[in-house]
Amino acid sequence: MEFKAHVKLLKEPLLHFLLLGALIFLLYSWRQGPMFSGDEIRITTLMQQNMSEVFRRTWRRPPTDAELDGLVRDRTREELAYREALAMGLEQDDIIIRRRLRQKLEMLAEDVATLNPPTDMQLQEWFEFHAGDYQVPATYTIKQVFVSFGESTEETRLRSLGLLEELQTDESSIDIVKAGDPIMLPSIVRSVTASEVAATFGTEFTDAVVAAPVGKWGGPVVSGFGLHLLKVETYTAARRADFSEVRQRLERDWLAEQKLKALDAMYAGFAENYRVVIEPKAQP
Amino acid sequence: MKYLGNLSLGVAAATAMFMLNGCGQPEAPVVDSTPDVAIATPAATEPAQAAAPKPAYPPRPLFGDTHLHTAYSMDAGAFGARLDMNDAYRFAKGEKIVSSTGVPAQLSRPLDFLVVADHSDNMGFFPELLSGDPDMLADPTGKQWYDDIQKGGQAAVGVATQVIARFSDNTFPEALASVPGSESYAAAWKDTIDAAEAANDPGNFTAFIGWEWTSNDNGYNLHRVLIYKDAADKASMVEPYTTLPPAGSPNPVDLWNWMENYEAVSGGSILAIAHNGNLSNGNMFPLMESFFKDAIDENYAMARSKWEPLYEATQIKGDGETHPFLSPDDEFADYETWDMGNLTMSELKTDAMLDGEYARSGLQKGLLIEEATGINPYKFGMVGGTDSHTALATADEDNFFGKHSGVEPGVDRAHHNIACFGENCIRAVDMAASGYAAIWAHENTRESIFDAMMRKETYATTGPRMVVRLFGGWDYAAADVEGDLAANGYAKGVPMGGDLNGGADQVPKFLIAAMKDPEGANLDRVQVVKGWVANGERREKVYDVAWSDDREPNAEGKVPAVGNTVDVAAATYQNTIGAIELKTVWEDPDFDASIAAFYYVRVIQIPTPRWTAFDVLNYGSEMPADVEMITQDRAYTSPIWYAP
Repeated sequence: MEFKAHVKLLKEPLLHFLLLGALIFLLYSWRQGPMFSGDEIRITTLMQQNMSEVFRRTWRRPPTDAELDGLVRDRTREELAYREALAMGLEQDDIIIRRRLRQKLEMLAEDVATLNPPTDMQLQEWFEFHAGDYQVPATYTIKQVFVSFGESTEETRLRSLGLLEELQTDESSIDIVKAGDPIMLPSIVRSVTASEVAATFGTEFTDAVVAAPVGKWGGPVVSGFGLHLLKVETYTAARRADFSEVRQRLERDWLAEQKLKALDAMYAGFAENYRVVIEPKAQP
Repeated sequence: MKYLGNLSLGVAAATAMFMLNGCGQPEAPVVDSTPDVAIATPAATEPAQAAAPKPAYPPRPLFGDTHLHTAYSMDAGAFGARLDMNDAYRFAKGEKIVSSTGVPAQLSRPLDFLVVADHSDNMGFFPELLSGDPDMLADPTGKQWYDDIQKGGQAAVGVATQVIARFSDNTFPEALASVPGSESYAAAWKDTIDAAEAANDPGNFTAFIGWEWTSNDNGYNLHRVLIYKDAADKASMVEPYTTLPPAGSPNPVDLWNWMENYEAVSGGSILAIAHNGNLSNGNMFPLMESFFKDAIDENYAMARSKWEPLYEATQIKGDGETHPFLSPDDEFADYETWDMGNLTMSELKTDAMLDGEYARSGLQKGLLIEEATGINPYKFGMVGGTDSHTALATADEDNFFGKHSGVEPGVDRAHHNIACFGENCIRAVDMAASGYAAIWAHENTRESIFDAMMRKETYATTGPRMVVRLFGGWDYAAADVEGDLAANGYAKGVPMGGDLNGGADQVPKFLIAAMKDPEGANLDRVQVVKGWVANGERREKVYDVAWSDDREPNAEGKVPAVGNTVDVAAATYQNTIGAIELKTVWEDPDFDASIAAFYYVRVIQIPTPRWTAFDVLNYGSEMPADVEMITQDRAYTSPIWYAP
């Protein structure tokens, strides 16, 4: 062709379009690595940069040439194995692969669902609906005197009732730390939640603490250790949390619910494309 | 088909097949049991913070699991786990969760702390998708998706379906794809850190940042859990170390170098806890040379003792305190023993391997190496963990969710095998419902618990929450068990994990106190395990130092068995035997001031039903005839080391 014709061709929009398309295709396959290359396995410069970056993040220094060669060799083998294994159909009937794929799908759905952090308004709404779950727990200051199970139930009971009467009559004359039977449990515990009481004394004792009237010695109360005389000195009631106190928990729980909704929606969407047939149960 | 993420399924899957695995918000109580407390007039009702002064010593130990896996662990997901670390934290805090197999699950009491330690190898699924960065918004599809996500509700949910559809027909927009490998890993590590930060609640519950380095060459289990003292800012500076060369290594020496590097780079603090020596075929506690041909010299000893202050002495894959072959005179030595082979059952066990596998023999070998090199590499305190891969940290016999989601509660788990070598199988019924770590930390915070771990003021339990104190010193007297025992202990000696050095013609005395789990079984006895070396050989003696009921030691000095109230069919027991607390001051009757030794305490409960009995009761499972139905749960404290 004549020179002028060449130039005219180069200005053709269609050619531009085709060249652009080819360029995008090449760019794409270059970025994506060996996926589109038939029998070629290409470990691109970008992939090697990436491997070096991974290495550097662990070791805070780039790999040596020998180390990078090792990474490249390994990545090549991985690609060979992957393709050959797929060609052989090794991914079929493999429960681990099935579970892994399901996991990936579900994580994908969850990732998308939780991408957008909730607004304060959304969290306020959630908080109103679930306020009971976000209370600041009640706290107690308690005193207790321990009576160990003795020779007979009756003997123990009488001893504890005797002590109780003394405490109710004139507490100030008694050293409650020394009163009763020795045990490695605290005689006074200040400003703790019921959960903390349970960690030390067990749940039976804690139930009694929660039920007890404030300011009076009572009992005997049973625990895994024995009997206790118990006085709840002070009690600060559980209260509804302030929004700001629990905002982080609210956000966490709200996101958890979004994940569940996302999964339900995802499976519902999938199911529309299939006819799910459940055969009747086997008869015994 | 295109995919994002870098899954090296091959090697990891093979290893994975055998790799196993409420709403209270407590505040730190103030304890006043000092004898000279005056009885105060009732305090006015006022906010808690104003009233409570800090205690001088920890009033109660903090209980937790130092070793838990979630669905983020590659093998856990493969076994069917579907719970992530957020679920794990909620469960540990006492909330009700539905397990991966659809069973409602809840701890009877919350834990105080948790370490989620997913495997560093093959961590990750997807890069952070759709992060709203400019490239994404420039792409028309990306912009539409982003807008829909912003709308929330059904529109956002619809995006997920479209994203998946686009993946499957290979039309995922190029601008939104990312390079395989690094991004997905970084995203998973970020998720791990974010979840720990969200769950961490100083004063009420501690969520540590952590992961597991799962070295498994030749099937020899040399795994370590890594635990950070740090928060996100430091922990996120360096990605976890893996075990596959060249970026990673299965050699613990390389792990310690990585840890050194982490601390140098970040200014933070990290420690490692090894576990399952019983599956290492002798390689956990080498004497002369490691499996990787490192000489056990002073450099090795220095590094190991620096980076590994604790050892996980009990967990689901067998109890690791000692073995009956190593301790033939110890009638409690054969407890949840796994001694068939290595982790993959590619090699069977021989007797010669055993002393390289257990805590007690490891401690003894440490003394041998200290004789030779001047440094004790195996000077570790003890903790327990579950290593569960269900995201549920359960170690109670009556609430045991098993090693992984293939053996969650149900009639099938009685038949499952965990790994086999020919006809020799490790069976699911061999799982131990174990263990937890008890930490004498001053406060429920990362810093305080980590510090307690570094000073080894810890003990292991096989599940129950008995309270155990141990102090060693020169000046304890019998009267020190009265009054404020803990104050006496701290004042006149060192707590568990501490050192006693050369006492100038004195005999060491140990102030020991154990109290039962308030919800659990009475105590049978308290023992002191003494270990030392003589003429290059390991020596040990187990002393019964306190016990329940009216029992007399026999001619050999051993206290007879406590009895048994277990009704196996009903899976119940009675606290009509045993003691609620046992305490004593004990002096070593065989003390030789010239010989280095360690002393640790073992506390044993009365017999109770084992988790297998509960399975039979709840599911009608058929158990093989040789399966144990009764157990005596126990605790092992960190030692106190004596040096001449």
